[in-house]
Amino acid sequence: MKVQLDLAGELEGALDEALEAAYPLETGATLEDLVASLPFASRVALTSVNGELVPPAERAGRTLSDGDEVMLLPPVKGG
Amino acid sequence: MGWQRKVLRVDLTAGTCESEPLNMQWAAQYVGGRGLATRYLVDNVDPAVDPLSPDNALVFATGPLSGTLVSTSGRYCVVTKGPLTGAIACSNSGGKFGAELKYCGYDLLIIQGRSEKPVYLLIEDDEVSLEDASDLWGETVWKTEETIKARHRSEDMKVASIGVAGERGVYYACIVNDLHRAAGRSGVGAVMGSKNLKAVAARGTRGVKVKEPTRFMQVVDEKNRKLFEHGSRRALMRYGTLSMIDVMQKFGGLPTNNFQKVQFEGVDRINPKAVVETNRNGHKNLLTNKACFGCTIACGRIAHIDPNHFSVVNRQEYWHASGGLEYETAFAFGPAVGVDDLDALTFAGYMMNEHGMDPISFGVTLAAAMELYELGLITREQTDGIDLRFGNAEALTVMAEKTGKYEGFGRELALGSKRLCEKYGRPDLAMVVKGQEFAGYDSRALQGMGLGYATGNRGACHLKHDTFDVDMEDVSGKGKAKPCKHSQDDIAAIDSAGICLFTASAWDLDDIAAQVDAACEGSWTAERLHDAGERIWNLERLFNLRAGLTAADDTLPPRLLKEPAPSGTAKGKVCELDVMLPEYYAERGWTANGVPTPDLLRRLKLEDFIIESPA
Ligand code: SF4
Repeated sequence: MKVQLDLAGELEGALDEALEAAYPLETGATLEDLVASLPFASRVALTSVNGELVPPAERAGRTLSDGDEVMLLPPVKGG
Repeated sequence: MGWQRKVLRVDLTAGTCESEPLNMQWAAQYVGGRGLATRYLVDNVDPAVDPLSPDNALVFATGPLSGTLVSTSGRYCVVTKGPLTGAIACSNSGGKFGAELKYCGYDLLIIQGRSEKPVYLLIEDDEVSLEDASDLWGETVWKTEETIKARHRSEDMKVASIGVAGERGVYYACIVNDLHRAAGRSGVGAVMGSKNLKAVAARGTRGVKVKEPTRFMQVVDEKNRKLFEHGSRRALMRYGTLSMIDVMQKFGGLPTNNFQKVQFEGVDRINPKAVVETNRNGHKNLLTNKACFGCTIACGRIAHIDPNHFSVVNRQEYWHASGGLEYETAFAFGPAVGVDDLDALTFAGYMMNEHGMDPISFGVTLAAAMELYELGLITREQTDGIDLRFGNAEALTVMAEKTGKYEGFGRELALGSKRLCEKYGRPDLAMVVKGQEFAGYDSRALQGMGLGYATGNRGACHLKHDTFDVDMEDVSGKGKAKPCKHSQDDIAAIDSAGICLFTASAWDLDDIAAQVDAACEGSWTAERLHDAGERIWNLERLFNLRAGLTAADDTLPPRLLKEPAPSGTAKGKVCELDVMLPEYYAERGWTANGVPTPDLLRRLKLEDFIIESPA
């Protein structure tokens, strides 16, 4: 299956465009599997699936489906 | 050790400058910087004082780590009673001025009274004098710094000064040092102007002694490596703080058109990609990044304006490089007012630095004026013929300059959002807490931010607490009180040590305590720093309560409490302050009315400030 990634801030451009538009995953993969597979996993702070926030503790229990839109954002600090 | 153990007290009414020993008992309890300055302010100023009267004091303070080898140690802060808020003001700045003040041999500079004529304070180690500034009055920050350096033939001299905005009492005038770094918020520049003090110029040749030099070097080296290797440092160096604009846009927390919306269509034209793109004239906005004194992060941006842009087309004096867009300036001149013209935003930033104004307060005040204009409550005749609609780049550039020069409709904008909206009959449109404008985070999306804004001792502020992590995990008020309270205390300690808050993306309080411990007398742990932070937060609160503020001031505008976020992750939500605030008071050990209890104050060694029978 493939999911669509949406990266912003310092994560933007970290994957090539085609991969970001259709990121391949094993069927039944969880959000945690997805984050762990990324080369910038340690810089992912916020995750949402189809517009709904998923806290880090719940990523392992969130199974992804083909076509899901997954937003990944880096940590934020005031400025 | 760490501290210079000396305070410089300047009485502008009497024209005297005297040094006195630093109260080391207070240094042990309040660390330095923000904490120590607050303790001295409380000792010298009646909280009920008119902020712009000679009875207010202006305290410049460095921390024990300022001027040392610790990364980002160029910081200083200015503490006073703020005219924008009527609350305690604490504005922190980078650049090089803080370290230079420390090298003159002083931890703190206390300025009292009011000079009969305009003066500037000249500090060259022990040689301290008040110099005539009549010829500088009415000059810009940039001209003032250049003139003072030339007059004393010293390129190395560091200058902190005000522009016309500070002289004329713009409620959010700031103090600018090193041309484009500022003690920005709450109107500290207006206090300086009210004292007829144009500038403080410092040239110091003393070093800073540390307690255990060899261990200090080892600890600093270890912590610098940790900072260097951290991903947040790399991101800040590469993109500055501006990269957060895309994050907030996606999240739906980017306040737009005076907080009527939480996402901005024009974001792609002012984001980190846009500043490095070459435009049709072959011009690229961003030139390089820049570090403050001793900083290994270097988040600062240096930019230049396209000479073909309408704001500077016949004005070569603005074609040079200067401070570029950071997240807060981009928010305040961009989404807040609906403008997506990159050069217009950059020009507005130049105006803030040249004339000495807080960009956040200016931008959010202009946003309020635009809403009043679109509602027909302000007319084009009143705005000097400028069409004050959201999105008009010309309105931004013209009004930034007019306000800085205190001309025309700029005099109305000089009031700040609260006073402006009250004057035009719509106080609800002022996006403020305690009279101070919000930064670029919407508290319907970032709920802990809303709590931090509401309880901020200096009014709305994004830099005195850190709930970003929990806010971006859950868009509700649940579980926000505890991290808000704890981060407020930690940050009070960091601000007091004399280093930049951005180190906290890589360093925890243990890392900072290790460096304080190697530099300063006594034994310093994270716990001790946290306790000092809690003491400082409560003392600030007590100052405000004595100034007449109450729990009723710990609130947010109706827009954020009643109008749901129209889009983004928090679509349909309002800020749940009613849930968070009672939890927060309880977490702090305050009464239901937000008053620190006698037991708490005894634990914090603040028994002298106990408010009897707090309700
Ligand atoms: S991180 Fe940025 S603001 Fe902080 S000291 Fe370094 S350059 Fe200055």
